[in-house]
Amino acid sequence: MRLIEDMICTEPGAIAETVLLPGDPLRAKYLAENFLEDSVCYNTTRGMFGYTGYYKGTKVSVQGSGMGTSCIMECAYQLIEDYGCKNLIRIGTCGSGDPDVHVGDTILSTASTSVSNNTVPEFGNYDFVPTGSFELIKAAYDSAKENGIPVHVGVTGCTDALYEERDKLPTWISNPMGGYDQVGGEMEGTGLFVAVSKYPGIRAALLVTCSDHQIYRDEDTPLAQRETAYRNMMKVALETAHRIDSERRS
Amino acid sequence: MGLCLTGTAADVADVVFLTNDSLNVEWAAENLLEDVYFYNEIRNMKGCTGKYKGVPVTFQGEGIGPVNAAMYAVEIAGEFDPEVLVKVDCCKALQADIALGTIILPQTAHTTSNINKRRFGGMTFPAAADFELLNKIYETAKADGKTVKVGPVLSIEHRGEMEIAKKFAERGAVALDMEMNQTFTAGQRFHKPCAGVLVVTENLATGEKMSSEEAKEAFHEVVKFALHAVLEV
Repeated sequence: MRLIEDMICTEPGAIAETVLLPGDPLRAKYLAENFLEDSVCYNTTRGMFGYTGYYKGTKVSVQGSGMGTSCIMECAYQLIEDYGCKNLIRIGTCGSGDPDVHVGDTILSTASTSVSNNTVPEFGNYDFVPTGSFELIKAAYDSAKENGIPVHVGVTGCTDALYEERDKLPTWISNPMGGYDQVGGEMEGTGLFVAVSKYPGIRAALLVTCSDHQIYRDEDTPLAQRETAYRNMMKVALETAHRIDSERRS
Repeated sequence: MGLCLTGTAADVADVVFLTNDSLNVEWAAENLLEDVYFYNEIRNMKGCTGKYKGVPVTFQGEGIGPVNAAMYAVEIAGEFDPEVLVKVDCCKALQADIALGTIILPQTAHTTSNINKRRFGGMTFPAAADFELLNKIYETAKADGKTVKVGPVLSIEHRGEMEIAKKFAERGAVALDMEMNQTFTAGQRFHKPCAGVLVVTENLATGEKMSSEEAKEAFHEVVKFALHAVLEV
């Protein structure tokens, strides 16, 4: 039983085993038009464009996931349960306060913080750490290296409230990672990792591009450029899809 | 230097190996290291520095459980200025397809402990290995032909939590230990790359278990592997 209406509506087999998941459906369109061969748009439900095409001969899909943990979780459940997808790779944007990271840099997350309640039914107050697939992370890391694209690898933050009233909160809630390393912060990673963890053998990864920086504020990417400014991340994600497909075949 | 350890930063090498059994430290001192110096005089929790194949290295006991790890790992990382922390211990596999003797390299560590929930204001903290260090150990294991598994582990607080451990296993946890979560947290707190190199001596899904002699031997082998991988000797 689904609690909200479906996000994706297409034929079985229309979506590849490996799906790249930008939050913004327009970035899905951009990636399909610029990187994929023979791409076909298989979904327009809710304006969440989804395309399937080929990259270096590997069948790849790219599906807009929407914003926030709920959106990406519903998207992931549908991709896995209804369309048999095996590898879900989020390609998104993030903020950063890490002095080693600059706007435009590619970030690969090993694990994500969680402020959500989405593991409470199973784990109560225990710490279930939302974790990416090592195999995908390793494939992405090696692909980035081979293509000369620098990546920052580390833990990322995931928040649920974009417009939180931070001045009303004690610092241990408004800035819980203060003093601890965190390469970036975004709003979907935890949802993706938690949803995918329910399906043994299904893998998830989180690749993000730094689009705004707490320290280097003058580097911020203008909103209009976000759609096109992330070619490095897209290249790493597509090379990862190609790599895991080649490894599976060999 | 703190409440748990005597000695100074000069007594501790750049690379610190942590283990939950203080007697493992004595074993390393007697069997692996040269020019050994024991620096801790409190509670019989051994800590020593010596040379392994000419490279300085420290072995420090951290006791059992998240509470102990949150003392010793924090003190060693925060006050003794090491560069790298590596936890070497035995663990229990949570998946039926993981053979005894497999080396587990924890990528992250879930926990039943409340230490981090309180510390981070209710947020789940991603206690995680340093990727570059983890990757280096993984690559070495592959090159050496070792059976190795990378994934999340669960650090429990006490042995009464085996039922909840099964739920974590259903959601991908590969092995069970008691200190990894707080050891990672200490590394992340003090910006010290940290990894775990654990050997499976029991499988909770299949009921298989090494004898205590076999387990001891497996531990000794994994320590030698970890030294080789981390120190590159």
